[in-house]
Amino acid sequence: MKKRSGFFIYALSCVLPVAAQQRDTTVQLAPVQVEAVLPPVQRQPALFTYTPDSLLLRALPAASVADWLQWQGAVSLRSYGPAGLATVSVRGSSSQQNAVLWDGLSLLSPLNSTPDFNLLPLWLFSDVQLQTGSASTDFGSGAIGGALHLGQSVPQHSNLSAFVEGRSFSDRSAGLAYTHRAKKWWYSVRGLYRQAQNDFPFLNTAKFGAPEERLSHAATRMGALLQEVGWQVAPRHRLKLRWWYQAYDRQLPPSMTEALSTAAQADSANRLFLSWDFQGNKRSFSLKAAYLNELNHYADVRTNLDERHRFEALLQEFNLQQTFAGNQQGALLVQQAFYRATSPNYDLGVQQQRLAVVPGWRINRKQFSTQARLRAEWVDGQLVPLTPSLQHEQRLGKDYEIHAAVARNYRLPTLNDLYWRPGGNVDLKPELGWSSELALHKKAQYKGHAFALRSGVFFTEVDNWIIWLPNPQLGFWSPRNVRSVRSWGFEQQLNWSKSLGKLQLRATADYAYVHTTNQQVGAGEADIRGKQLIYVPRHQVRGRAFLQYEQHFVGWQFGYNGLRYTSTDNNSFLPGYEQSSLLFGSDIRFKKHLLRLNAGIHNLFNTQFQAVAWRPMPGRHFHLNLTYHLNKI
Amino acid sequence: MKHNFIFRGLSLLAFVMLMQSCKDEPPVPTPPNAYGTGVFVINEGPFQNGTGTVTFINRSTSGVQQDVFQQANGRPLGNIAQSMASFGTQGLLVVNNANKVEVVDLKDFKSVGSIEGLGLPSKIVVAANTGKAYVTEWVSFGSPGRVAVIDIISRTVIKSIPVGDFPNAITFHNNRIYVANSNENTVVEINASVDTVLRTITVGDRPNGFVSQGNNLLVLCGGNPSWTGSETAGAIATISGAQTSIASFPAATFHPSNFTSHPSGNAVLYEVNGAVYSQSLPVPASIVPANPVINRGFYHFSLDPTADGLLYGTDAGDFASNGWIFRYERNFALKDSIRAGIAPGYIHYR
Repeated sequence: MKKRSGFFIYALSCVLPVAAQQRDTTVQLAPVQVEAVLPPVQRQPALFTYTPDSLLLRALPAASVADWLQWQGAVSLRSYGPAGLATVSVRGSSSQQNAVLWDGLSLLSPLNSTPDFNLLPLWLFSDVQLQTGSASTDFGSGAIGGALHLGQSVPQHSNLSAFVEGRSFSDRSAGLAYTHRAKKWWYSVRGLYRQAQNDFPFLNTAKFGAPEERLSHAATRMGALLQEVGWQVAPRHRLKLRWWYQAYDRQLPPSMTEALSTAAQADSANRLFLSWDFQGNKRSFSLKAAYLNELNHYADVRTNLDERHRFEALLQEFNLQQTFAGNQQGALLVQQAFYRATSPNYDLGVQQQRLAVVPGWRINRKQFSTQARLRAEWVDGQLVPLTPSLQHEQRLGKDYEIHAAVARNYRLPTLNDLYWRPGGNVDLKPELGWSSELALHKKAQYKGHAFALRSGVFFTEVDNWIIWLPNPQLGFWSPRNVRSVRSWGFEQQLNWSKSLGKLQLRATADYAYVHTTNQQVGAGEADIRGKQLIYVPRHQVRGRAFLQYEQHFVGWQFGYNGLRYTSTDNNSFLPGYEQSSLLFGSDIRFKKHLLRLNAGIHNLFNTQFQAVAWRPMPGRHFHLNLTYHLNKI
Repeated sequence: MKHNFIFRGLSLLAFVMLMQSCKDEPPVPTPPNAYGTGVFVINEGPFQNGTGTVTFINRSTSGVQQDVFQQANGRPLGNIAQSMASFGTQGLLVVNNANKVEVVDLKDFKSVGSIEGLGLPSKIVVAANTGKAYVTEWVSFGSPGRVAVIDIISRTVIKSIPVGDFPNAITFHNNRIYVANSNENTVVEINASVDTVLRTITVGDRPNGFVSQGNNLLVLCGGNPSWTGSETAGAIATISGAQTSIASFPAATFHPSNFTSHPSGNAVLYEVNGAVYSQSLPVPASIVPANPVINRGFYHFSLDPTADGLLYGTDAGDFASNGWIFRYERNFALKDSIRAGIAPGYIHYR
């Protein structure tokens, strides 16, 4: 770890003197900003999308995607602590049923397909967007609950940004972003270093008298570096090369019911990305390739485990779009993936080949647009059931839009499911289901007040749900396709904004109802039929409001997670909880220089809560950061 | 309409008051020595993020109380409850991942103390009339374990005895303690008077249970499972004084577990390949499981050793919801089923 952190400090020190710059234009003051829509998102427009608020990015530059997602309406975060494993459930999905995409290419580990959202720092990306709903047709295996898109937009200017931040519990971080923009090429680098003790106090309700204790064995350290070189080869041709290296070391703290923990985890990832884009008048295409090399190292002296799980991936994608007369558009997407993995839990190194072909057709009219796509995918030469999708957007007047979609979705068994020793089951089928959704979007202006309402319902059913269960014949656990899960509910989001001279106000309220139950279960599991899945709250409420006056702002965020069951028969549960945070910020400008001071109070009312049973979360705590921007160098 | 609204409002108020009055009722007093005799089912609880629980069954009334430790103490027992023993009026609960033995008063199940700082403790046995309890400690996986000798009255560890890899079964037999090194093929014999190792006895691979039969001690060995890469058949070893004989199961795919006495007293029961079989004594040189007495498998299975005691088998289901206890008559006819907590993995009879 010392060697790695030294590397990051060296890398940061190399780029510091290079020039002055600003991170990007999204953190400018003044109007409310929405991040640019990524091209991959456009392939399959979602009925509901969520992007980080520009003021939130400004106030919390060291935040992870998990820190942001916990405040989003349809997302339920399962966090083991401030820097621990953080997975999400979107619309009742399992933690393995959400895609994470970097410019359209999947970052999911083929070993377990369980993304840890605490390992994704927001600082590295200019474009971050979560879309809810099935997107398997375009994004492949696992995009059932939703898909997280990460990307970098093309810089328009040379900028420099740097920040330092201090948080409670010895949490320190620093970041730097530099972009050099020339006429035909650009270079950008973003680096982040963060370390924390996370030794926060909590009431240990697992002990007599609920004594106050401090979390032990929870220190973390992470570094991340993302570099990009872009070349505008010709007016319509663009090449991009990226390298993203990241290392994350963390101690894994004990739960309240454990005496101690000696376990630690080290994750590292090398990700290379190359793309060629062509944008013509009627035809456009992109060719992308990525190489991923990732290591998960788990060690525990107490259990005498020292395991290294590694995978490599070679991903390629060709995406062609052709516009025809009558505003019709044809599309062809071809994706290829090759995975190779090694683990002490596999007999041998394992490999997997995937090839997908996705033709599509889109009709655009003034009042509506309709899109149909069909995905055919072969895994090691075997055809996965075809996954079609159909979407329709209908504009009703200038203020109303109706969106409807129906899609088939799937999730392939992971390599652990197939080859884990003992228990791996090579006969597993993919999880397979249907999802449908209907949403109404309305915008309105009334006496200077701007409103935007998004309201929608969804229904998803997934068969062949993969679950690890003990196999009494074999004497160990083994995965099986035994359950069927139905999820339905609705999402509401109301946005409001108002300008009063130099004073700008905006607020957002989210509510999501998610009813996710086992419909078919295995032999001897009758008690869990019809029961809500564990850790999926039925009710989720989110709210946030920002007040901005010239160079200053105040923000408030609120989140409520309803009761969450912790046993599959719904006999045990965690009560609902709420939490709030307050954010403040102020700017000092001098010509191209901008200095920002931000502060925040988190868990404002010092709520003692658990997102995962017996895993304590921090009470009230604080952060302070200073950011420097040099814009348009 | 207005009347209807008022009526509904009053009804709601009355309901709330009724609920409030229910809340204020004094708790039902616990009878003296409520847990003096009975069956204690130790539920491991969900792995990592949960707590073990104890289900208590009253033999005479078949009354069941769930989660008696939490009810009595207002706090959870701890992560991965493993086993239980009792001595006088005290119960000793072994909690593996909490590295402790919780000591409760059996009159009300309230905690009177705990023995902390153990290394992944697993199984416990009390040596009759010595006032000592012996707790196996895994310490860590893949390295030698140990046995903690506990003075029950002072609740202190008075000695640690090194044993083999993964000690996961222990018994008291003829004034000696026997510990199964469950990742090896050995059993350690300890003199319970002076707490020293007398000898290490070679048995079959992966011993996992004991049954005392007169002066003989029978040891069930599971054999190496297939995932080890060197699969071996299970066996039953008979330790008779200085002599040990080993009888093997017919093929390497036979990995028996859940070893317990037969209600008749002249046979033993074990589970293999998803069914419970009876084996008459003495054990022949080769064992051939045939005609199961119960045609299903259990997470835990044992005989209540009290007079006319029943057979108890547990089902842990998906390990994330409450399990079941199945009670069988002494002729193996199913008597009834009872709810347990999550992952019922051990039963203590008293």
